[in-house]
Amino acid sequence: MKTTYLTSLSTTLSPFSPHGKVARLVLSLLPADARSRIAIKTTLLPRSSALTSPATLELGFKDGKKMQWRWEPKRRLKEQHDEEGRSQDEAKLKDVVEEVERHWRGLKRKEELAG
Amino acid sequence: MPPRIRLRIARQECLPPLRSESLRSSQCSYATAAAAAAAAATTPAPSISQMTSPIYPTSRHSSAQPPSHRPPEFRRSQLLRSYVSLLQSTPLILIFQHNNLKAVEWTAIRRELALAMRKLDQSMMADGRESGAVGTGVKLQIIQTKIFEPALRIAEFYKPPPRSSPRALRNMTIPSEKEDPTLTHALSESAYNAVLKKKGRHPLTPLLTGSLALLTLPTVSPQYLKAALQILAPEKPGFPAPTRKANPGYWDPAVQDGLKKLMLLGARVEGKVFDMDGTRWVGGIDGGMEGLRAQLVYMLQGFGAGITGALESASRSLYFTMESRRHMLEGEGKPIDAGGDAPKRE
Repeated sequence: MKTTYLTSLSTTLSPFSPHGKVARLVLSLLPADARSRIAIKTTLLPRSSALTSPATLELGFKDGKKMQWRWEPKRRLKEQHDEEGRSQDEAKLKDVVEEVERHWRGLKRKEELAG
Repeated sequence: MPPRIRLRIARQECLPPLRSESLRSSQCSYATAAAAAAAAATTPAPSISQMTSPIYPTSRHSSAQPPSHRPPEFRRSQLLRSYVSLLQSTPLILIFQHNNLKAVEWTAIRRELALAMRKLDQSMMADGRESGAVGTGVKLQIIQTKIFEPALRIAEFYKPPPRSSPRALRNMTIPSEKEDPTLTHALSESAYNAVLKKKGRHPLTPLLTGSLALLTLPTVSPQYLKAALQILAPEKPGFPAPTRKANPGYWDPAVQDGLKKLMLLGARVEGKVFDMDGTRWVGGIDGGMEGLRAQLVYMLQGFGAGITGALESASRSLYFTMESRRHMLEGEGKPIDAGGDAPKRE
């Protein structure tokens, strides 16, 4: 994952829930020296809230753009599915990486044009 | 018909001396080669249980190399075996996520952990508890999650059937070598089939994605767990990190950068799954197992004293009542007819 323009990352997840997997894997994609450049805030929830609280991921970039993701527990997702009448796709790790890299490409092009 | 032994002698006699010598020397060389091969055999020696157990008439393989479902020559099969034995033999396992730690950082963290363990070992030795000093067995290792997951299932859910008697086995017909009921090792087909349906059932399964490392402690010792947590996942009130003055090596940039990338996810204590808070709770038991035992003894003593007091109180009160009554009657100096057991005894 391209993290050149990433400035902040905050995530809340419960490691005992399957829906916290993507947020946890994003942390493992950061380069080894990322902690010196990026303000990383990780909140790990206890096992009791694995099925109740959602997992969130928030990324901040140099140009001020914020990206947010939210993964609901499976049970809640079913309720939402019933209310809205359509299935809601959850973002996969690939989607997160794709979106971050798309923004990276845009910022890089801007930087090249500027000088 | 003449006996064969004569024939052989006759043949040896008719053989030229050079030929017989060469034959003898080749036999000798064969014997020495066999001895050398036995000495440097790659096959592991059978275990004591294998040697004492009877060899079943149905087995068609060496007891040291049983046929297996997963190919034993692959590294991942041997990793699976080692993980199963790790899970079966280690009562306390802590699970960490490591996010791109450098080799220097790993080395520094392992060094600090070993130092803390050695320190605790020395203090245990000084207290005269040599058996409790298990610091050398504490290890931090990276695992392959995709292989660890089936190993966890085998260790948790696979209960090998009890060995049937050799007589029963003799009467049994086994269609293929793999269906031999005596094959119950971690790579066997019976283990594979038994845990196939348990995929995703274990509560630790959601944890087993991404890059993981295990801290294994050979015994459930809250003191060692606390010392390890103070190094690897310090938290202010209960598990403070060593101070700069006490342990300057801990505050090296390599250690601190590495620790920022190490996340405690959970633990497996004697087969039970704990989250971060549960792990800290186990580590926070004061005085370890001995402290717990002392607390229990103290509680039971108090309980016993209470019970004795309660049982005693009824008889004691009766005694006091009777005594007071006797004194009263004696003081009055009257002859008594009814209820005068005590004066009668005098």
